[in-house]
Amino acid sequence: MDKHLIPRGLKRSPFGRFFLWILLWAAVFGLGLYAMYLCLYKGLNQTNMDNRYAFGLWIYLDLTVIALGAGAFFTGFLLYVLRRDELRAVINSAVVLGFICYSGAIVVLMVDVGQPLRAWFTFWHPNVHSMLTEVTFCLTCYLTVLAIEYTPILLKSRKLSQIPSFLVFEHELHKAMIVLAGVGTFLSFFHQGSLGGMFGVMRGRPFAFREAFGIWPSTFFLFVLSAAAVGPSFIIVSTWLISQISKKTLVKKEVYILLARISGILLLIYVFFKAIDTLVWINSTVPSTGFSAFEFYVRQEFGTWILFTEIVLLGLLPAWMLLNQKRRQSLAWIIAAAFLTCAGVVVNRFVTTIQTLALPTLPFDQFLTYVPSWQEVATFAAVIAYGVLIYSLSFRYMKLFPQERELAAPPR
Amino acid sequence: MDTKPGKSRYGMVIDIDRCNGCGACMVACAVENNVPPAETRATERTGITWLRVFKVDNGESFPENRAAFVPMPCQHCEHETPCVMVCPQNAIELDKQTGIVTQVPVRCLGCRYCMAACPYHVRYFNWWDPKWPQGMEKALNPEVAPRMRGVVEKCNFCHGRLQAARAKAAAAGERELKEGTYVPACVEVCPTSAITFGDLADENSEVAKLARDENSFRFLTRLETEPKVYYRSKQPFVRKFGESALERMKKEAANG
Amino acid sequence: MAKIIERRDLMKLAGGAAVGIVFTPAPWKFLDDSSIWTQNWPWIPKPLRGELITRFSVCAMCPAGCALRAQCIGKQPISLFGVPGHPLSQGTLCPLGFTGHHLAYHPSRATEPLRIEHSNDSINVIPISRDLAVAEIAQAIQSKGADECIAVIDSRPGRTVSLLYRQFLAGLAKGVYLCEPTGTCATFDTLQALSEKPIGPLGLDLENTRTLLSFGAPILDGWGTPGRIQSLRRNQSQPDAGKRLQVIQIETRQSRTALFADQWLPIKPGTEAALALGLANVIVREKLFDEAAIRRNAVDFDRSDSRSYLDLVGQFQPERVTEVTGISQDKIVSVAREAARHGPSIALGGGDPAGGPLGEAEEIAIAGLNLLLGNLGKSGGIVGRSEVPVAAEMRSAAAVSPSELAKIPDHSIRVLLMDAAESGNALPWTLIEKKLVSERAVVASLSPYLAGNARQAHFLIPAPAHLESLQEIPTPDGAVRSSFSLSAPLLAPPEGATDPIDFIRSLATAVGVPLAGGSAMDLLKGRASAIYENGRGEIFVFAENKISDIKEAGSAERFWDMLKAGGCWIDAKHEMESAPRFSLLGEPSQGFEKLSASAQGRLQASLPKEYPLVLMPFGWRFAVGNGQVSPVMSKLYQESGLRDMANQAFINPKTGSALGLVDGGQAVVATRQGSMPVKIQFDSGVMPGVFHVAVGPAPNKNEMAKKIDENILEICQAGNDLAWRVTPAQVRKV
Repeated sequence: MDKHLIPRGLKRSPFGRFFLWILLWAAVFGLGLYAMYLCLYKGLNQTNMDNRYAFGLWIYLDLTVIALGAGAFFTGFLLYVLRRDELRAVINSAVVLGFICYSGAIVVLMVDVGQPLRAWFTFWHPNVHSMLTEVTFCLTCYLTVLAIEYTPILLKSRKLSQIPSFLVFEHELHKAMIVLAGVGTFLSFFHQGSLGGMFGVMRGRPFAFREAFGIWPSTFFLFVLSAAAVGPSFIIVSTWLISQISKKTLVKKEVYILLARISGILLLIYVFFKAIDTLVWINSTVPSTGFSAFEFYVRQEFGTWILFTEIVLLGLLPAWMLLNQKRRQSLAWIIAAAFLTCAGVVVNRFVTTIQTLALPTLPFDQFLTYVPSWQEVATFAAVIAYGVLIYSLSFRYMKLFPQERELAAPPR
Repeated sequence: MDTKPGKSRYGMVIDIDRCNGCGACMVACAVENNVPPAETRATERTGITWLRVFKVDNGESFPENRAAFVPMPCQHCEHETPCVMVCPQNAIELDKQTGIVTQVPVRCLGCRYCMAACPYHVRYFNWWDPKWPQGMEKALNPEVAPRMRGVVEKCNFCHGRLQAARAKAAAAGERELKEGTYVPACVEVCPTSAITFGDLADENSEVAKLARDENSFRFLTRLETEPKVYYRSKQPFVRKFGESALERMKKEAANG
Repeated sequence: MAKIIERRDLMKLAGGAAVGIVFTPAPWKFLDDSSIWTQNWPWIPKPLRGELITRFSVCAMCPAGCALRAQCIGKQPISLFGVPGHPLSQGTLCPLGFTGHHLAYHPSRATEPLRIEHSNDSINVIPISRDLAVAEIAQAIQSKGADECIAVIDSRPGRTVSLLYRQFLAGLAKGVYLCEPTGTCATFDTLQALSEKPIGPLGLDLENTRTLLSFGAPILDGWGTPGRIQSLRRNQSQPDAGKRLQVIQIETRQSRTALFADQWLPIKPGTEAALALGLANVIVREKLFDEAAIRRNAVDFDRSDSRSYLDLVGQFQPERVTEVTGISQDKIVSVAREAARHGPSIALGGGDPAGGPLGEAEEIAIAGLNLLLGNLGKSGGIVGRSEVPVAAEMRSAAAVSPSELAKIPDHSIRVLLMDAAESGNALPWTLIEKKLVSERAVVASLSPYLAGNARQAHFLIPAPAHLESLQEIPTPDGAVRSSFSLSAPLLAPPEGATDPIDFIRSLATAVGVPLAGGSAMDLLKGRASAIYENGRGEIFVFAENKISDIKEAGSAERFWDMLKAGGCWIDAKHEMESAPRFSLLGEPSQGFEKLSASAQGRLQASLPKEYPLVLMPFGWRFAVGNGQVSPVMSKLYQESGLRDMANQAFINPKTGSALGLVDGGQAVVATRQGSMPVKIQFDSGVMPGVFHVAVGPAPNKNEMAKKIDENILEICQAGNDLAWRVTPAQVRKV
């Protein structure tokens, strides 16, 4: 029914089936919209956050999706600046994913703050000392960059590419792509870092506090490195997932292997610096605040196992897996390693946000627990549904994977 | 912590041995600052108490167990004030003239970053719109604006009273505020006079003398936030709370 | 050649508009305006504007009667503070008093008479006219059976309205005037009862006391006048040993008083009488008392029938008492010696505001201790104060004497009136219910709030709320000099509110009992005149922080005006007449047996197997559910946990874990009287085997709600003397 919109040479599932798929995710999205409406209308008492758990599921979600969406900036950097042309195979998908991640994160942020109508105050009264000011500026600029990068993909869709002025616009835009990629990388570098910096500067939270280099705590750099490392892995995982769902081969294996290698190198560098940082933290930073690092891990829920998991099981192990030249010829091996890498970043962001707030600071405080309310979970689900919807529409009606057509053509 | 002439550093010394946990300070603070009564679903973790009195104990079992009460207002930190550093829109300011950390609720976006940053947990968020029983809003203090939901609020040493004291002094032709003309509501109503308030920059003031006393301590000094609220107690188990966790652990290990 | 507007044109227009609008001021102005709207939404209240004026009044919430200074905008008080320099309240209020001006707006406040219908455990309220309510109550009075009585519960005796109630009841056949079996004045009441002749009102000269033996009285947290007590705390840390006050708190629970006392004796539940007699044993044995004086004045100190006081205390040797009370022998001996040697010393009973009175035997033992310590009428001891003159027009009429709730027969009250004023102590409904003739009883409450026992009534004829009407403030509990002041109204009462004096006058008219003429104002003025005519004492004027002799007022009229504008009359010191003769054992026939039996403690040493724990309710004076507290008190309750909310149960962690309970979890308390859900909190300060359940308000909860809340006092077990302090109980996890 919508054959005229599907790019030439590509096969897509029947419209009816697609419609049902969209309907399902639209329902989830609808429920999430209702949850968001409740939070905006009735106030944040609809969540289970409280004065001690000022940040909850949503901030954790934001940090995680932004880290995963880093694949967009990093792939763009690798392709347009470092000229790794193999990555042309995944750049469109990466940009769409990035767009989804960032726009979703910003929408959740608007629900998370108490007075969204005052969001623009950060631009009018910025605080040069605050990492969050930096995050706000960079996120907004970067979203603009992503929107601009998304536009050509949109414009190259079948119907829109028929309009000559759009084609010209898109062509001119393409010339500027390297600049956009550079700017995007720069902005992304800063806000990935600032998100880490947000927690690293908090001298009131010895668990999160880190030594600074200049004005940036070590978590700034660690977050950038981990985002750069997880970017390619997330592209691997997402591409594989989509190819599984659509039952098509979308990219050549070499692309996976290249992404795996890049991810592995960066992950190894990250784990190295993370290990050093952790040792410095345990032996110097934490004692200087009068706490002992190990008292942060006395509770079973957040025992030292979580530290071990984050750095070794989900850091060192996937790094070794990704760098193992022989084994990474196997796609299954790569996918598994990429999953572990993504999981590692998910755990790292969790530890940074949730564990920080759970731990007591005052000597007569207690360890606190927090379970998100259904409105929070539904909003989270809405972001995922939103992502699936945008991606599904993009995948169906735009040329996200240049190699797909070639891989789909039957061998002569 | 250098004191420039003409600048004040308002602070407090709270005598824990005198505090009997009656709660008059908490209530007077709520009345003075138009803090609304709890919404029906509010709890200890979602209520708003600019000043909160905690009960701490010595960890012993019956009958050696002993408790004490610790009032915790905003500590008005002076060094790299955690909340001031992190607010993305400068809705918080450490006033250089008075040392008071002020909060601008109408500029607050409600991002709650300052709440995450504060190690003393003295910042409170309006999870609901403030609501008073019908008619009770007539009893609001006109010197303090009620807030709206979605913003953070905290103790500001009854800043409105400082303005009023200054206006009164100016009307009387005085340049400086005399000791005792400006006191926050909690200080005024404490029945045991457990809270001493004043200008720490004035070496001869009561509060400065008490702050220098050997039984005075502050919480979380190792975090180097330089809070301006001091605590006093002659009871060792209370003073222990002023030591860092590491020091306490070392002492316990040494004692076997 | 009209151009056809196509879809493409519309899209271009839309696109162009979207881009172009950004260059107009419209979106930026909207952005700016919207953030200003967020500051001024219509549901954010705006405080009143106007000039700030100071008015004076006196807090009438509890018997302490602290003077207050109100900051008002026009007629509206916006904050309350103490009156500096006031000799009685010493410049401060309590947290409840600071928020008294909110009570008029409390959600459970009634603004008109109501009929209350009960079904199961919910109530339904219907507005009713006052005349109809009065008519129905009058009808019930007139149709009562010969054996049935009409009762009034007055929780704050000594006022003009108290006398009016007593005169009203005197005009009926079988009128009974009841005060609560209240804690605060129990020690005084007992001394009165033990004395051969009336000794007049009593007070505690705490300013000169050196040792205070408090048997569970919340002396440092909700006793007497807060300002007075807090300055006494300074006496505790006096460097001069000659002036220092030592407070010894004898209490099972580690209350705030126990925490701040110089010594805390964690006594086993219900064993206060044994300890008091044990202390007496040491004092008598070691001859640390004025034996000659006691032999002279006590009728039953030493008799030949081996049932004298000497024989009684002889049974309570420290070796025996330590078994029962859990206090070591050394401690019993040292405390007795300190009390006897470091005098002046006072033994104070009374009990906890929600735990209720200690009990008859306990108070007699404590009174005996006071007499042994020889503090009656002496500096630093239990001193007499003068009777406050009564209005001339009220002197002649007959008035019934107070009765005790415990002493009147069960199922004898046909009509019960509950006065509006609160004592601040709890009175379990079950104790009252027992005295009502079951089905046909008519209960009317005059409380301004549909809260506590008022919810059990059939009629609510609400008095004006706090600070809405002129109230009489009699002498505060424990004061050493009699006083009188007026709580001037700061707010206007609603039309539907009825002053209790007007109510009782209407009722008296309806049943044909003549009462002294005059409105509430007239009667109070009359009393003020009587005080002025008496010519004694001083008046302290709040606004001027000045004391002057009463004669300087010049006239009764001016005296009245000074009181209304903010003033307090304080009588001169009163010398008690020569020491009366008294009985140390109480009742001549059964006193010895009753007191001997207390050797086992109230729980008779062992608990039944099904109820192995001891339930002890506790509360903070005036916040135990009958009156009301400001909704802002939620700061202390649900928003911080500083004060304990109703039905929170505190239990020792070992006891709790052994029962499988979870800290912070739910549980069910069961006694012989019933069961109730509670919330558990582990507390290392609690004695093993005991658990303390809080009785308290739930501030800002809408109490007009239909359901009658469960109150732990309903399942407490009361003895014959109506003490409900200790109850065998079980706690099960849910």
